[in-house]
Amino acid sequence: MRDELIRQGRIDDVTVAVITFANADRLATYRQLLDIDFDVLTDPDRNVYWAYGLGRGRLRDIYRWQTLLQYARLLREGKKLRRPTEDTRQLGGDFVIGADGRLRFAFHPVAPDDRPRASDMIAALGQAEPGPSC
Amino acid sequence: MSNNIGEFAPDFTLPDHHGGTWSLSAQRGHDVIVIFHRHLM
Repeated sequence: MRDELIRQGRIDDVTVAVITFANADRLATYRQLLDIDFDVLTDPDRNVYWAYGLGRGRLRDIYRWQTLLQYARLLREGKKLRRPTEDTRQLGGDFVIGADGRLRFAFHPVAPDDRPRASDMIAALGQAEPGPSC
Repeated sequence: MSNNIGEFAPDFTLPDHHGGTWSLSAQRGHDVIVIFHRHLM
């Protein structure tokens, strides 16, 4: 996402927040471990998660072939499998909210490896404010 | 919530990694991307 925002010249005028479900006192560590450049928040009770219409995946979707292949790819890249500390059927979600507070884009995955294209999300943003003219 | 495009997104305030809080309503005037983290390894 960050690379795409930079490529499209939007990195300075878009706010990105990543919502996790970690303990609040571990957020800074979590952010560093996952190499996240954006604000990292936590929604431990999942109240916001539910409010945005997100839910739990079905087992057959959570462990579908595409997801297992994604795990295999991550293992090849040197990532280590860890014992789950969160709900393994928890999905994610991606939303673009305009400067007026209105929803412009919503992505509800059916499996944890589902991702929207960053370019589609950025396309849903409003046009960047033009800089001051000379 | 209905996730109908064009409707107001649900406001929220959550703890952030700085030890403070982060509110969607405080971002008004800026486009915002909200990503809910996936449970994937």
